[in-house]
Amino acid sequence: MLRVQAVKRLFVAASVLAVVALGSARAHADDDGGVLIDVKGVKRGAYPLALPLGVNSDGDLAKTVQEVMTFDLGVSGWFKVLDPASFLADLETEKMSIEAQKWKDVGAYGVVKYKATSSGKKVELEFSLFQVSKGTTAALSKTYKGGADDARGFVHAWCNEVVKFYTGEDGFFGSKLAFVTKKKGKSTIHAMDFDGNGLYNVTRNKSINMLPSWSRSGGKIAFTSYMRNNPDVYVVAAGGGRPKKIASYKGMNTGPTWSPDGSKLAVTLSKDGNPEIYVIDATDGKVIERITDNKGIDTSPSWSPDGGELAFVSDREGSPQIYVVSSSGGKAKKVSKNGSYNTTPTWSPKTGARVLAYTTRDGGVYDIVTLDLDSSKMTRITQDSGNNEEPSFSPNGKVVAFARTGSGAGIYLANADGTGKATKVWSGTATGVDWGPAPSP
Amino acid sequence: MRTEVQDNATLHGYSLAGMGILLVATTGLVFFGRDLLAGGGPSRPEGPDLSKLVAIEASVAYRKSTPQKQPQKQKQAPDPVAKPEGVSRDDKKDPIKKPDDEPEPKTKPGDDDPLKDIRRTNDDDLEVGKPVDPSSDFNEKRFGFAEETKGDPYVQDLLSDLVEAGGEYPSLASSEGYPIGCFHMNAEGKILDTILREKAQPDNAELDDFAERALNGLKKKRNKDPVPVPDRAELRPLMTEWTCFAFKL
Repeated sequence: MLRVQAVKRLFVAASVLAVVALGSARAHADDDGGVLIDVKGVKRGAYPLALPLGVNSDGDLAKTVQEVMTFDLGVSGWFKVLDPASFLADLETEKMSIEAQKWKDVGAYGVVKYKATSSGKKVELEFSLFQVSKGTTAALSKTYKGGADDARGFVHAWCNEVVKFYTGEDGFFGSKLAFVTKKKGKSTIHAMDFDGNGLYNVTRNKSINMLPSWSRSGGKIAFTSYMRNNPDVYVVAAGGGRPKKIASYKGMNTGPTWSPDGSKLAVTLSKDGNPEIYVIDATDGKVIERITDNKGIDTSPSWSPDGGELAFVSDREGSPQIYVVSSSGGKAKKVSKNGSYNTTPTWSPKTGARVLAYTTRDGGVYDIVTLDLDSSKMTRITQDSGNNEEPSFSPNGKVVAFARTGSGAGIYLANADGTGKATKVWSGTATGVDWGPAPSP
Repeated sequence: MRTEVQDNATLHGYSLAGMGILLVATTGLVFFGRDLLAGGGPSRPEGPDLSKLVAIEASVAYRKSTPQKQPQKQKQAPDPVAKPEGVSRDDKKDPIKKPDDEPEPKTKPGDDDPLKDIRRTNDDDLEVGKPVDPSSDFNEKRFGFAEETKGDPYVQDLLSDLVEAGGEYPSLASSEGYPIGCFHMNAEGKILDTILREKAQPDNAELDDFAERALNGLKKKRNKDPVPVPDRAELRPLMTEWTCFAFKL
């Protein structure tokens, strides 16, 4: 009888186990059917960034901060600044934090919160960057304190931090542009922030001053001036002051550009009869090397970022074209393949880049193109928008500044990859645009 | 009163039934024991068991994007030249005299264009000639399908909607790893729930976030305007279970 009861108990236990096991199997059958599909080919784009107006802030200062940030990050080529009108978040409640879902709902991946306060002539700017996917902990925070005049500079510095955070590269916010305007027979060299603010005169003489070139440290500008009735090369402090004559050889001394180490200038001299490219000492103008020697006119030199090569313009084959030569001289190689008129080459300062931007004539108007010397890939930066000339790269090579003449004349910035719209930063007729180095962090 | 023979028969019967049940139970334990035993420990994540999903293929071809750009030169097609009729079928009628051939132009149109080799090849920058209707390439769909597309058009549409709902993934964000997101849909085409079934490995919060945004966007769109799952034996049973997407960018 005991055997019977034991076997019965075993039967019941086994039944329970079987039911549970089968039930589990059934549940899986319900859950686990279906399909798995690979999602590939998703388009990549600029990083959507929300820059809401700071709360608990000085109203005007907060607006200036938002304005500067919006311009800087918008023109950088990396970010898409979202329209504040679309924001759903309650900024007063959030203060210096974020409610992530509200920002996700408007498409933001990053949000910058700030508090801008002023007291007398002092300002304090407190910034935090949030990555929406990572919640309410700020990914980056920084506070700047100083004089009211420094406020814009603080915002530029913060924007450089944001760029560095995302890209690992230095931003160019706070850098300056130099350029030339003409008026009543004289021409003046000016400088201003890259966003068009803080314009000032670099030269103050009543002569013709042209072709400015920033030193790599940003402290000096080399240029050509007729102030002694001959085109000579001068160097002046970037903030203005008394220019120092560097090269005044017989004939033409023009188009100076600084070597990356700041010790030399590449210039065009016609001291031996024909305009040729020379490398001279940046302090005393002594000739270090004659780079070209031919019957054509060689002009507009530009250094490669490593200082090993020079790009320049020559008409040795009949029309002006772009050539590249070793900075110690040798045989020059023609690199421009398009059209019959290519001038004003400028080398991207990005380390390792072998990319030139230059002016090309197309259908009777002048436009900006870039040329990758390694791949021979050309990218058109401007078209059908008047005459666009004399490009100059931003310190990180991401953006190109140039001068537009005719309708809509001014200085513009455009992405060096040919995407996006050009942004006007200064109105008027300008020539010889040159982009200075990034400010020190 | 039971006899010993009856008792033995009953015992054998119980024994056989018990063995059968034990066999089933053991089999169940072997295959599903982990789940049974894991009651107090960390449970399997919600959603489907990914190892049991059917992998299917679907791909979309994108209409060329039209990023903001500098204005490009407009091209105009040349006016059509009426061909003179040169042959008459009336053998008594003199053939119409052809106009004298025009001298061959020295250069073809566009040869004098110094930038012809570097012009952007956007749709709006086509060379002269017949207009190309992009809708024919894409069958009037938003994305069209790649030639190599495999799979059911219903799934392709679903994938198109998902890709559209997700929008662009920021270039600055990492594309390392791939999350798997799933949804559960009914036969009417309504999405009942979504889940980020597996986060990207190595960790990639922005890509996980992108997957969630895409799934939520898809849910919103499909629930607003449901597309019933076609009643086909090979499709409906699959699509009304879990549908998962591996976001491999």
